[in-house]
Amino acid sequence: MPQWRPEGVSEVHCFTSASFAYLDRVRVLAETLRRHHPDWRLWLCLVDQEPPGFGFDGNHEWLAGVVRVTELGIPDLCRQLFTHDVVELCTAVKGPMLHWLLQRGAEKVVYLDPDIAVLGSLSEVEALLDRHDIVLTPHQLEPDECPQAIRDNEIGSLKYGIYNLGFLAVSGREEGLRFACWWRNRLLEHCYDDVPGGLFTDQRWCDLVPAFFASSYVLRDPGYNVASWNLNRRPITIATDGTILAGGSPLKFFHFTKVNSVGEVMLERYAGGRIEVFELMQWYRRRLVAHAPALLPKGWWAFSCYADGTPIPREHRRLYRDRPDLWQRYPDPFAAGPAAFEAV
Amino acid sequence: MSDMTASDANMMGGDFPNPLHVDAEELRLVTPYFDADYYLASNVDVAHAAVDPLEHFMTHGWREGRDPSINFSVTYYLRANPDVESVGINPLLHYVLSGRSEGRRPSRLLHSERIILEAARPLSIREQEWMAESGGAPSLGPDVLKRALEAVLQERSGLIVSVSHDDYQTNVGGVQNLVREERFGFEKVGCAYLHLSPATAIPNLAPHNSAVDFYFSLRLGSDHLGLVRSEDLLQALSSLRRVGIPLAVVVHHLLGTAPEVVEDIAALSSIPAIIWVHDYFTVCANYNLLRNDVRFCGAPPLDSRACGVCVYGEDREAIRPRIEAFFRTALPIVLAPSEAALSLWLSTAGLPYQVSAAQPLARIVLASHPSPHGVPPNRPLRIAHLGARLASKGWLAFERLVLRFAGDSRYEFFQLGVPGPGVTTGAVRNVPVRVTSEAPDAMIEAVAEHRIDAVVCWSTWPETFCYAAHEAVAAGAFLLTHPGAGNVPALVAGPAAGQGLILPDEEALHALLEQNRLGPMLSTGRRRGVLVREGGTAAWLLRSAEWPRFHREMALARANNAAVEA
Repeated sequence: MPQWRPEGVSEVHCFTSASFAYLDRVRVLAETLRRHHPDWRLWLCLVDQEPPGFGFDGNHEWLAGVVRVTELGIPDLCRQLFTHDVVELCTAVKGPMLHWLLQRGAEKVVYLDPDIAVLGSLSEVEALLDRHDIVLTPHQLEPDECPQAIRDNEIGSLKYGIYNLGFLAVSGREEGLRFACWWRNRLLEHCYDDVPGGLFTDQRWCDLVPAFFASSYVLRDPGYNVASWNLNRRPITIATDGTILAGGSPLKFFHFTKVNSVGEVMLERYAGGRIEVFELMQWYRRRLVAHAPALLPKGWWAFSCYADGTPIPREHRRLYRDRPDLWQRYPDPFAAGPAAFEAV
Repeated sequence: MSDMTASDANMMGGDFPNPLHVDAEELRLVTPYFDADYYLASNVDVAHAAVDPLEHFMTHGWREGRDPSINFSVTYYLRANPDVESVGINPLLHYVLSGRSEGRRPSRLLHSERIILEAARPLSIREQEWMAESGGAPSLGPDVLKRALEAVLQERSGLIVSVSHDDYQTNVGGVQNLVREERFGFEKVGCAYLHLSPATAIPNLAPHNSAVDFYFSLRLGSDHLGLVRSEDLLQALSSLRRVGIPLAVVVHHLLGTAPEVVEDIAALSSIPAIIWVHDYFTVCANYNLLRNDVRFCGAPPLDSRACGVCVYGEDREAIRPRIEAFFRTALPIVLAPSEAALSLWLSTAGLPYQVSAAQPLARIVLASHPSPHGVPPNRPLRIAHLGARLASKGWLAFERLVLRFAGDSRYEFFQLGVPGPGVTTGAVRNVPVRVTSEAPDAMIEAVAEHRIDAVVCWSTWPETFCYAAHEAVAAGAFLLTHPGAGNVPALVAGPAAGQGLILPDEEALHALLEQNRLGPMLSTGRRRGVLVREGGTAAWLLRSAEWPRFHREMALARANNAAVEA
């Protein structure tokens, strides 16, 4: 169990959630958060286990502590690990981790996705939590006009969630705790990428927040959570005084979603012909290279394979999720191996 | 496929079978999007094979990832459009037939600039590569050096020690020209001129470690003396000072040197050391003030967000204390080659100095009457870029202009200078020009000879003194520039008023050409002129309040010398 260090100096506890494959991103998040908020404490919820020969010591990272998925008191953990893919599991633990922090007395908690880099002060969020219990940032703040942007962004939000859950801030007051309990419970049961079924991991759940929690707040500053899905309405500019602006507002954090794959295509599509976006992307890539963990096998995730090393297909995860009879038959599905599910 | 034999095709296409059939209709469709000159310049093997370039592209080239023009990237198009790749269609043909109307991009957004951005590396990395390539052993002992200096000081009674990043005799450029010119100026008034450049050229400050020797390459007058240890040099210069030889230190550039070593030399100067602002290296490690090599940054505070995301941010932080220490100790005289450069330096450097002044490298003197040569009727306007194809010199903006108006019978485009770097569109005609100390006006003559009507000078950084712009005006060309090009817009607003235009951005530049507004401006009568070199440090010092004292010391030294000889 990580040591909880309430020092009274800081009221803000940040956390992120990742597997080792995103450790480089976690480090960039930690590095940039520390630059702007050296007094905030960043926790990593680690959804992974070390591969053989790979050393990881949370004490040597810029972290307040590391909380492993096994330490969150998740019921029937083995089933949860098996029924989720890496994205689903890394998002599913956000509810339990938030709950974990609030239960230990954290007064203000901020969640940031590991692929976020903090580029400005988030003090406004800290202040907002004095008056509100849940703070959310929408994917978009204003309507799009061009048909492709409507399809990509507005319809995207209707499918994947109005609010981007790369960011979330919650107070330690009663209402904040009530939200954390609700979210935790939903995510433990229904945190799947199932858009036709009305779910998209942890994110679509928060569409309900403004209705369920009266003290929630929608943060409408365009400097927060800038990403490909809102870039066309928030052009990035860099002024000669050195400030970086998004839609005219000082940039607080940029969400580098899938920056090394499809994310680049979307950034290109909505960069508005401005080189500054690519400057940010190039900077972020340089930081990733500087923070790449040594000796981590490519594509590593401890829960991606059966015990015999066979990759677990998505259908097997879904099958096990939907068939409670299999829970009895294979209490440890990882050990059961692929043959057990192919035969079903 | 006109001249191509089956064996040629096999040779070029590797394992490809005999030439594939090319549909005449397909050829007709893609022809407007194919740049044969670009294709041949980019693919030397195709040029050597003497085959029809378009047919080569249509049969083999696109399959081999060869681009049909600078505007279309085969690799990008297939990567961005997996549906096209999966069906194995010629990507250019797909673009022409449907991709264009579907809004698909022919190449990566901002590709040319992103190539530069992606290649930008911190100085600390680049210097390692440079150091691996250069260096040398010292060849000049302290006694030999002392004797050489004493010998030359038999004839002369003051010593100018100048420092710059390279040997001005073996390299070509504005700073090198100035060093050469001021050497003559100083020698004319009885001073010896000793030039120091770092023995190992690196694009950064040299590391300073008192336990490790620093070496200079020395040139006394026009003679290359060899490499000397900085301690030996300092000892020799000190001994000259002790016998009353006046000494003035002029720093043209600190690049490649250890400022701590230059500071020790500057401490021997009889007058405050003079440091030039040829660029903004004393402000930032990117001496052009180009953030990530692509955008003018304005030299924001070191702890700014912009410096945080700039590849040079850490370099700037590393060199700043050393530059500050140099200025604090030397408290120098700051000279800039233009008012524009001085003004920007004063507002961004935040460094202590004693006196500052602008000393232009050259002055333009225009004829009192317009040149009789206008644009002949029915001839396209000739628009040129002067110098190498460097992004910092505005090449990318020029190339975009050319691509926008390629094939437009109203305009012809030229590049006067070395043909490179890189391959450009076939719509640009290269005229090789090389400016040397023997042919300092070669560019002016070439602009005039080729009847260039307008020169686009779209430097992406605030030029401290742009020779190309001055050469363009001296040759009678009309200058097109933008407000961020340093002393270029100052030239248009001042000495070359009426012979140039400052446009707010590239959009306005394109509109000028599109709307036929450039032609009438050219017909109002342009004047030719000459560039008068202004003498550099020597000219400034002779006019300054420091000179009488220095001159007195020279006279005393002469008297001492005579007494010793007597």
